[in-house]
Amino acid sequence: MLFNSYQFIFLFLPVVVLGYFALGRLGRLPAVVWLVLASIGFYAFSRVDSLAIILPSIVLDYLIAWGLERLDESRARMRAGLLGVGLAANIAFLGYFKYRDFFLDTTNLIFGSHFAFGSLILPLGISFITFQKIAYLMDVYSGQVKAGGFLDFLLFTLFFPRVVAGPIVHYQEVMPQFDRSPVRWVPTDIAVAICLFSIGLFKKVVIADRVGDFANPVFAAPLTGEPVTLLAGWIGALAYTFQIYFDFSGYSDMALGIARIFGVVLPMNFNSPLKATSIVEFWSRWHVTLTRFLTAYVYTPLVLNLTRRRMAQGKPVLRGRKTAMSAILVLIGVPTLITMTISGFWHGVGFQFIVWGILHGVMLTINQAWRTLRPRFWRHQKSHDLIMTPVGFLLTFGGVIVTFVFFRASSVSAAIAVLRGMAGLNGATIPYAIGSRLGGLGAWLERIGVTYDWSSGSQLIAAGAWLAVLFVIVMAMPNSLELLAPYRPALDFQTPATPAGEMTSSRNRLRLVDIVQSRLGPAFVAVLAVAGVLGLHQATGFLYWQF
Amino acid sequence: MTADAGHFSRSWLVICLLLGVVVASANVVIDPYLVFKMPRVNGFNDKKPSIETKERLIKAYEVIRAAPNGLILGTSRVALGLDAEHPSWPAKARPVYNLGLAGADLFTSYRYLQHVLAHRIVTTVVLGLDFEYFLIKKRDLSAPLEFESYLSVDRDGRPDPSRRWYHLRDLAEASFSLEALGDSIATVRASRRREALDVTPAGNMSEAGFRQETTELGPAPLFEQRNLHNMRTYRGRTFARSSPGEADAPALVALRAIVDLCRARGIQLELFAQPMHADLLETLDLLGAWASYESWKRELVEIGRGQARGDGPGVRVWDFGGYDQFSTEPLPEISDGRTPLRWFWEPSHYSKALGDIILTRIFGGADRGYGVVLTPDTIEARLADVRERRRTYRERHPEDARRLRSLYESVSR
Repeated sequence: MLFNSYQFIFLFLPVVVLGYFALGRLGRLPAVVWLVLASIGFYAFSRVDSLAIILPSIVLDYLIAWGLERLDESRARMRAGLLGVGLAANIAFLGYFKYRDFFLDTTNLIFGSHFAFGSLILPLGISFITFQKIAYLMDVYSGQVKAGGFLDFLLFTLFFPRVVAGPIVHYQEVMPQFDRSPVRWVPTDIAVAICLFSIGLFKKVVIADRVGDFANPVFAAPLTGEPVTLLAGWIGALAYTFQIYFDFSGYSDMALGIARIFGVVLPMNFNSPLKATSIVEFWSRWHVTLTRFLTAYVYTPLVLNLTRRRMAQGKPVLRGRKTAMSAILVLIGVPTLITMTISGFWHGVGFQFIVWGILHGVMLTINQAWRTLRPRFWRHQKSHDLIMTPVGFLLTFGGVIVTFVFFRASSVSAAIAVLRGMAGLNGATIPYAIGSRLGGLGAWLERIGVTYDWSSGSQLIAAGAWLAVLFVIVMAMPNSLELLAPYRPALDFQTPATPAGEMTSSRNRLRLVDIVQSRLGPAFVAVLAVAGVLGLHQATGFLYWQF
Repeated sequence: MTADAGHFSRSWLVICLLLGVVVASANVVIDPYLVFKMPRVNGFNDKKPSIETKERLIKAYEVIRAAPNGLILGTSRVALGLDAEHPSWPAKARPVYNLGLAGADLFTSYRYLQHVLAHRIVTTVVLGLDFEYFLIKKRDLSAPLEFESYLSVDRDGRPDPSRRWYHLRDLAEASFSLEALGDSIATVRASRRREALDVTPAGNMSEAGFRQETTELGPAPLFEQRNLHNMRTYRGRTFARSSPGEADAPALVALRAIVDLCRARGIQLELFAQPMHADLLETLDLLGAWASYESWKRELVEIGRGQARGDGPGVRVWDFGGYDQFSTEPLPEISDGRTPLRWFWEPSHYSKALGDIILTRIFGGADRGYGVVLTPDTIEARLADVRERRRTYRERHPEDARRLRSLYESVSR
């Protein structure tokens, strides 16, 4: 059931919320049982068999966590072994359901073998649920979490606002928030929830779905062998960047908002990533909880392990600006590339996702190496910031747009076909309807090799207008978390808030009025909500729900 | 702050409800899709530019409201070119509704005919036939098509019980959707203009769209654009009478169904092969489809044969496709002016002026040497005549033949 559907907004959510607070009067337990049942119902709504597949894996993880907690520190090897079993089971589970066909297909392709494969059910949100459970096992293993009852564990894994596409949370940061007894209806929570949900719905329905229409034909062209021209390529790549930006940030806002109704503050997942001035900063703003997960459970253990080995071998390790090149390659490059390749493959089945991950790994490595070595030859911090802030922004924005081509394309070759177009290798054309009106400029364009095509001029103008407006929104407007900063809209979200309901946006120094306290606040949010609901009849799924 | 937050939520809810009511009322009053039967007030909501995107919805409702005795069926060519209010329509056919639908294949026309016949007794149907649709080999009809949810009857002609829900859905989407709101705004803006994309209560499509495109681009670029499109779309396609083992073209199957339905209901059916500009005829020849075009016309004669039940009216097959004074109207140079041609907007869409001549020919009997009734006796002479005129045309317009050939070569490369 999509958040952006009539049945969710007008039936499921009101019933669940009213039931939760009604049962909450009786105590915490009935309310939590109700929420677990609602979450199971939500999950099973799209496919009942998804639930049948995912439930046994949840039971297994619960048992392993239970075992981990009962084995004391003296039996370290057994504990590690048990954790290993748990991790392997989760990875095997994900691997079987999500990647089996891909591996068999690739094996057949390389070795000319003929492994047959029937179609498998891909359980909804399997990638997110698996990471969620892995984080839990690691936290129990490291003693950061005291495992609760099975009911709590079910609520943790299947809590419907975030079961399908995150945020990926830690047990300890979310579950204690359910401990309030009796369950209370908190007006501030409801107001914040309304704001987040309305903004998210508007982003998804009114912005993401519409701007995606400009990207779809461009990415469909390589499938029919139609060449992508310069302008079309860039419009397609930019439109997709904005589509996935508003789709995912809309989803994240809605997830945060729905959870907030129940008084639960989820961690920040999205924080104006396109404003980033470096790729490292981008990843601290885009899909924040995934970055956090991968850093904690893949990247950091890899760095520690490699550092220990190098130290044991007497080789140089990271030492600030005096770091040797070999140390940078091994201790920054290798772990970053491995982590981002996993990230790419985790997102989607296909070589194009792996390429996307590798490219981000390369960009991150260069960025980190630059940060480490730069003080050697460019000591003056002020001049560095003055020059590198805009340069870094352009590099980051460009890198993100170009790599998203791999994320969107149906294959590596399709992505390359679009990128060839963006590089101008298929020539540059403009619609005749526009070119014939440009006068001297048109003649100049013709001289530098631009030709005319018969595509629609008004369609091009519409695309240009959409992209320009969205660029301004993305760059200059405060985001939903900034708008709600006084009310702690998300965990880990910090802004330089100023007192008494007024705040300064982190980057653009725009003075904001507190949206909840402002007189026009309810009207502003209501317009977003109504526009979102008016667009529901053409609802499409969230892009991140496919992962 | 708690009190403020409660106030915020309550205000939000009230404003949401108010906004919802305002939007829905505006959409109902402006009625961009004509589903609420609201009056069309001059200068306020009389023009309906949404006909461009919602034609199938609008006409499904409008045709029933118009309670017609005569129908025009076919594609955008008839929607634009034929006038349902032309004086030459016979009395028994009036009022006439123009059910021409952009991109409608014959299955679509058949389904809309079924829809009308579930409500009305119709005496006369004029059906414009586009040769290009008979080149399409496959039509996936396994699932219901989107437009079928607008129709009163299922494919067997029985009342569709789910239509009641679809009707509610149509009303909900026409009143409570962002798309309808945008279309309402467009309706009011268009209604303030002298000329805009529009559909008349008789179903005639305004020529404003093509007039605007022609003034923007000029007729020659518009022709070139369409010629290119046609060459790319119909390359490598042929029409053949079904050989053993090969299924009939879906258009042929649907055409037979229309003919059978009209015969069964005693409806006078006037089929006509639509006029095309010489550019399109030449394109067909370049694509190697000329033989197909001729065998298609022979097939139409076959379909037109056979008697109506009892003494009822029969089926006439007309041919307006050939080289004549209308279709050979010369194009200006690409750089020359933006004045439209008199008879054609582009290679396949003819003007209302030519549509009037066609209707006069069919119903008024005026013989201006234009339009031939195809029968087993006339067909071969007609085909030979068109070939002869083609030869003369090429002799007199060698530059046009060259222009199309070089365009074709650029596509084939």
